[in-house]
Amino acid sequence: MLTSYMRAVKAESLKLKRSPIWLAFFALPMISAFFGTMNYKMNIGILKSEWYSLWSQHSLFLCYLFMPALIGTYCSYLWRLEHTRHNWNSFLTAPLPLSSLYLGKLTQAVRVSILGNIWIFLLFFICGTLAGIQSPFPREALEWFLCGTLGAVVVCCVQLLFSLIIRSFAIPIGIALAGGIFGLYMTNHNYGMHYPYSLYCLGMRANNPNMEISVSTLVVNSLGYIIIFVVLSVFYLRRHEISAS
Amino acid sequence: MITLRMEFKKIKRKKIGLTMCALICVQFAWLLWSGARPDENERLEGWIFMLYSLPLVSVIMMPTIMSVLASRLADVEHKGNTYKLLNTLRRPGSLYHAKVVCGILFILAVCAAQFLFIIALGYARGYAGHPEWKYYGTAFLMNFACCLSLYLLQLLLSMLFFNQMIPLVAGLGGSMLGLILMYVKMYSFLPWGGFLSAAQVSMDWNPDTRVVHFYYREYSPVELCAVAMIFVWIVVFYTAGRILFTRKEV
Amino acid sequence: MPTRNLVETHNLTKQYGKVRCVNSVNMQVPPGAIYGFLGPNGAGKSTTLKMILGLARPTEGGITLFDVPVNEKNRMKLLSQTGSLIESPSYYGHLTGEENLRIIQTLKGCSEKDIDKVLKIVRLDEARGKLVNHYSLGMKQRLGLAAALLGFPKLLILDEPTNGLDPAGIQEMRELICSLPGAYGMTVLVSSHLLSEIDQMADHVGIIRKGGLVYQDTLESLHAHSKEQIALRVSHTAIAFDLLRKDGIEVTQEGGWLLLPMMDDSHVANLCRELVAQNISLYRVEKREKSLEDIFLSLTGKESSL
Repeated sequence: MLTSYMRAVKAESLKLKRSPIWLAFFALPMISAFFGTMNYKMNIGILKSEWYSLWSQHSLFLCYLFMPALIGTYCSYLWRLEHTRHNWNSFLTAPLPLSSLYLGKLTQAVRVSILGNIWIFLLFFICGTLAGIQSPFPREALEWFLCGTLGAVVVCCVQLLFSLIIRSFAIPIGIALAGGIFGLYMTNHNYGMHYPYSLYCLGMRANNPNMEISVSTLVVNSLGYIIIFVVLSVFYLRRHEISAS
Repeated sequence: MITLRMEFKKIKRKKIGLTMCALICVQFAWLLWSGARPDENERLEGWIFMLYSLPLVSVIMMPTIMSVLASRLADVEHKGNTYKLLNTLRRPGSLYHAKVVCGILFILAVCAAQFLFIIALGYARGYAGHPEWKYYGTAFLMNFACCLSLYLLQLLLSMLFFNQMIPLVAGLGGSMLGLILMYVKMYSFLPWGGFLSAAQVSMDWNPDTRVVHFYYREYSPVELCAVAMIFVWIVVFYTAGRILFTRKEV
Repeated sequence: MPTRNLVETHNLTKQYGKVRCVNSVNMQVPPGAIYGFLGPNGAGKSTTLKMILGLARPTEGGITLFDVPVNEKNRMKLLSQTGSLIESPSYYGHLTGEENLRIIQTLKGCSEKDIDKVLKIVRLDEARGKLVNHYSLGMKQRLGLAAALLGFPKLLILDEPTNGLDPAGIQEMRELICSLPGAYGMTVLVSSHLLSEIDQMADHVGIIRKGGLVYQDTLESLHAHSKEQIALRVSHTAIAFDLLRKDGIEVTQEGGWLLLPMMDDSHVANLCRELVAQNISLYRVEKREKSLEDIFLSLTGKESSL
């Protein structure tokens, strides 16, 4: 007997069959890694910190601009499944708690974000090796990965709420892109820790591998945002009469 | 004309205008931020600096803005399943044209807002002299042409696929490609590279004195081809869209 | 089996803005019934059904299902005993029919074997591997019914299940619905805007008009209203009325006509003779038939289309 949460996760997995949208999480980091490595090789005269320099080339655009938008796209897709073809009626009459149904969606978004992040670091390692970097792979990378993944979960929660409320597929993605760009500004002015879209970049140490951040603040703020947006989403599902179309 | 008016009726309450405004405002915020509080030296090169920043902002934002716009206009029909209905009411080609014209009006509004903002900002910051109208005019035309080519491409994708994930990821990937192509100083013949191929301002950076100098550049023959390519893309995407749309079995 | 009603609503009201879409509806669906919920389009049928399923919240009034009030706490327990098909069928077009059912089966937590069973019941087992995007409207509708049947719930709520079906499909759906209480002990609450359809399927009927339940009883008693009458037009209506009353005949007056219960020919002949003997002239003697349609129209108001 599966728990209601497991049932919701399984149902969501079934819905995603035959739509190879994870491919985007595969392809976009590859573009970034390819050109990032190329730029690293071409400017090897200025970029002297080996792995650290390579990471700054790999992560800059990806973390600030494209991963938030990509996660936003995925979240939009997850809710679009219900926004179209009268599926709200069947979604909301499933005999499961609404929180489980929501967590089923969130789990899918988080899963693909984690896989995307693993892929980004894998590419980092492969490209660095191919580029002939001699020094050992930096140990801190594990911390970047873990913090970054937590930040990505924050973006998932925020975007899932937007895509739940806004029926359009495209608008939440515009919000994600704008959110990411605004994140550049917030990070530059040291407000990054308090801004949901910046947490991912800060965690990943995007563009600045030597950045000193307070991991505990990052974890606490991330968890805080996650809780806030999960609660808001479930509350919306409970209170709002969503009509099918 | 009727089909065009229909098009505007359909997007009523869809808040496309609002979305466009919001995305434009992000661009504004960015422009406000870059080059804020200029010193005396920067004021001298202010107008040219703006023309340097513009393609950078455009290459990052515009592909996504265009994909959002195209997806909004096409998704109305997907969601309502109205392709069938409309094709019985009017020639299929006219529906496509209406979407194209509707898009052009939005793009014109977006580009105009962008330029008005830049000019207003320049005067507000007290940049020396006036904008160089020749370069500004060219920049406007190029910016519009690039947006149009991308819009036509996105419209094609958005109408072709029910799953709007595909066109939007293409828009996002295009943004990224265009940006990275610029980053590695490779001007390209791809539609997303157009903004940078057509950029009229280059930058000199002296690592020792840390002084930045902007100057208007001449297009090299290769770059001229790349610029011409923008217009080729417009024709290609328009024709492809028209053919696919009139032949699409709905 | 509980003797109380399976579905009961108490003064159920739904207000959107200033419009009362559903107004003080007291619906009672006994167990094992096929309850036909009848009314013109836009009368509030879907809204009522949605409130029963918890998809919309009542402005006033309450609902009990299986003797349990519908609220957030009981939501899961009640939904697990209910199958539904509201408005248009829900489906994921990029998946096959079978995969669609697997999703619902996973969510409902019922046996996998149910998928085969319901596919057979709605006769979709041959199309199970086809993408639902390629299904016809009728097939999508049957898939929706199959999804509602998964887990063989005690209560089935179907909103216009024959919408978009061809005549053969309508016939098939009707037979299927009729067989459900007998075969699986289900109670079916089915809505329609077609009287003839409800007449052929249901044993109980509720008629809704402009948000209000204007009639609710068994189908038999609705038929009882449709009895034939003899109508008379005479020169002195009042005198004739008293005369007939004295004879112990249940006569009523309506617009200058006298309406008598149906009687055999000789009886009519006797009455006529009697009236003429009293110097009352007979102008018309007619047989009147009030059909089910007439009753329905008079209940729902003639201005609303069917």
